Amino acid sequence: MSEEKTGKDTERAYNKLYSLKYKKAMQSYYRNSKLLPMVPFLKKKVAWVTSGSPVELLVSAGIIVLYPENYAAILGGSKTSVQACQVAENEGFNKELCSYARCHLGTVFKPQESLMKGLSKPDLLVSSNNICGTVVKWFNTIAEYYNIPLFHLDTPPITGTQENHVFDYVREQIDDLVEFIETHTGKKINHEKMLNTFELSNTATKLWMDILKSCRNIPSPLNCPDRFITMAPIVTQRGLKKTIKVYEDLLTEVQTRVNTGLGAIKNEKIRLLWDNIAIWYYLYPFFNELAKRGVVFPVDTYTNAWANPISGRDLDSALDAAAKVYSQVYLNQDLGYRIDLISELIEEYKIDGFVLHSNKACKRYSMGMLSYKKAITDRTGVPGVIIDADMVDSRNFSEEQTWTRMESFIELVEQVKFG
Amino acid sequence: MFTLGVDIGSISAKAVVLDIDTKNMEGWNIMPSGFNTKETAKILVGDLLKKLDITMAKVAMTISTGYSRKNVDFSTSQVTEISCQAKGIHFLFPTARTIIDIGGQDSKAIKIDSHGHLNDFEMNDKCSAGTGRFLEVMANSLQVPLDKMDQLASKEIVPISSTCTVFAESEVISRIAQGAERGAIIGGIHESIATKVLSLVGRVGIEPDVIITGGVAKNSEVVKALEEKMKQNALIPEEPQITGALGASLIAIDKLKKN
Repeated sequence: MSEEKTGKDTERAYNKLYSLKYKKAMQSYYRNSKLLPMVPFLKKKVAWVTSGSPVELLVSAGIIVLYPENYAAILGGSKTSVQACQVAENEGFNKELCSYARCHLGTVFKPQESLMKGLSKPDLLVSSNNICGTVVKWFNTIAEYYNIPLFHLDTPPITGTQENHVFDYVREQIDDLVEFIETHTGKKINHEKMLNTFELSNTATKLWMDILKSCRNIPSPLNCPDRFITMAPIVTQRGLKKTIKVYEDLLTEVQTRVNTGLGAIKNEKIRLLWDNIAIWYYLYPFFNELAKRGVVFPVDTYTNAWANPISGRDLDSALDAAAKVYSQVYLNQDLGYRIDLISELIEEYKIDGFVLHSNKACKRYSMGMLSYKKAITDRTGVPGVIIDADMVDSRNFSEEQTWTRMESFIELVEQVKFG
Repeated sequence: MFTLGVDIGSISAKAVVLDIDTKNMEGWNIMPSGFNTKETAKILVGDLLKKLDITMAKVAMTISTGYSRKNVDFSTSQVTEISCQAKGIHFLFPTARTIIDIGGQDSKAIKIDSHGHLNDFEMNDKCSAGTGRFLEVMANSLQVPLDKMDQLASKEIVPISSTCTVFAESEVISRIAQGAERGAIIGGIHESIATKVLSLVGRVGIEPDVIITGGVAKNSEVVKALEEKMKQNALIPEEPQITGALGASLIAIDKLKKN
């Protein structure tokens, strides 16, 4: 629900982005994922993967890769996620489970009733528990439902630094994944193509990182909703040439904003950090209302999760790097890592306060929140607030309570910053 | 000249008038919020000003707070109840560091510093456990007036294990069916609220002096149960329901002096 649609405000508090290649990239991505598998001579296979899967290997094999998490987020944004969750709940899936999982499974069970009539049916599945434990059961359910092969990349959580034997364990599985893909496509993956895909992925990731880092400027050229929406291609289409173009365009616009002093919002007064997944069904009402009060979010931990380039001189070192990057993602690290990272981001992006979204649907992202809120404030002197919500299940969200907390928090930050 | 603080909560509406120069509380008024809070705000303030023989022209600034703060048409600006509580309580108790506000719809734990500045706060989640609404629902089930709950509680208690208001209500009904004493059930209800509020206060840390405000602070048994659990005595304002409106009125004075 954008402000324009509600007609509440004729004067927007934010500046609109003109670089729309990300939107076109996503439209053609979903269109192609529907059309290409229907062309027999192309023999295109479809894989469903979790967001932390080493997608470059699948892309190199010419497989169409789809992300149930991204699809669930779109359902959230289009406010059809609760209906999909209820389908899964009627099949016996508990309301306490991840709402991405419930929402997506609902569309698996009743694709005809779902947005875009569900995702294209998969031929194979790749999951990794680097983002959470739920994906194991979620993807197992899909594998059983369609009776299709599933590869699970097991990435033990990291406490402190990753031990060598843990890295070796993950690295061996990367080789196993290559073998799995080759078995199910009936083709060897061309090594040069694989290296090239990593390179393309790397280039897009570096552009994304430059875009994120540009938000260190005051005023910040991007706000949270800008990044949450434009991140879609870096999540779903890493390793493709056209993704690079998407982010080259976006970076150009962002750099122009920085050079001309144009901010994401019109009157930046307060800079906050966002932690956790977006509240997809309330994305614009939340951030645009805050924008009216001069509140911008130059940084978040969510879109930063895709800011890890994988580079290597040769295929072996690229696969080593992939094993490292995919097993050392934000959510697979301990709380100490989280405290260090958020504290560093607060300093780098000149942040006045941080908002922790206690996401009922994502236990892995929300665990330990009270402890790290306190630790970060103790270390940085910057206040934080916890808001309770859910990424796509709006039944776990209370608008009024959220605003009481946010408005009180803004009063607190204003008192600290302006006296 | 005077300032006016109006706190329209989910159950009760409160208003306070302060003298700008002396900060003397000229008077206050409390009434149920009802369903038309815009109208409630007008009646609440109209009655109060009439009683004090003050015209609206003598009110230099009005600040509204509480859940329906945006429905007070005549307010100059709105401030959240958390900031208002901090301001009001610091005015009444300069030594206050922890405020427990148990209102109708939610409960809050607020930390303030020696200057009365807001340091941190936590609120209950979407669930109504540990709020005035919980107490109200239970009073209805037991057919006891809300303001008599503490007097009717007995020392022996029947534990109410459910924290959820709906489940706790069915638990209360089954306790009644089992023939439990009404006073013992009430005792269990008080314990239940105190337990829930304790975990909320634990989130910001208990630092003396602890002040309990909000309608539930009028229930001496809830206060006693909470004090026992915190291992800490608490101070209760003379009229615990109006501290938010008092804070709003004080913030109005500050704003006027700044300008």
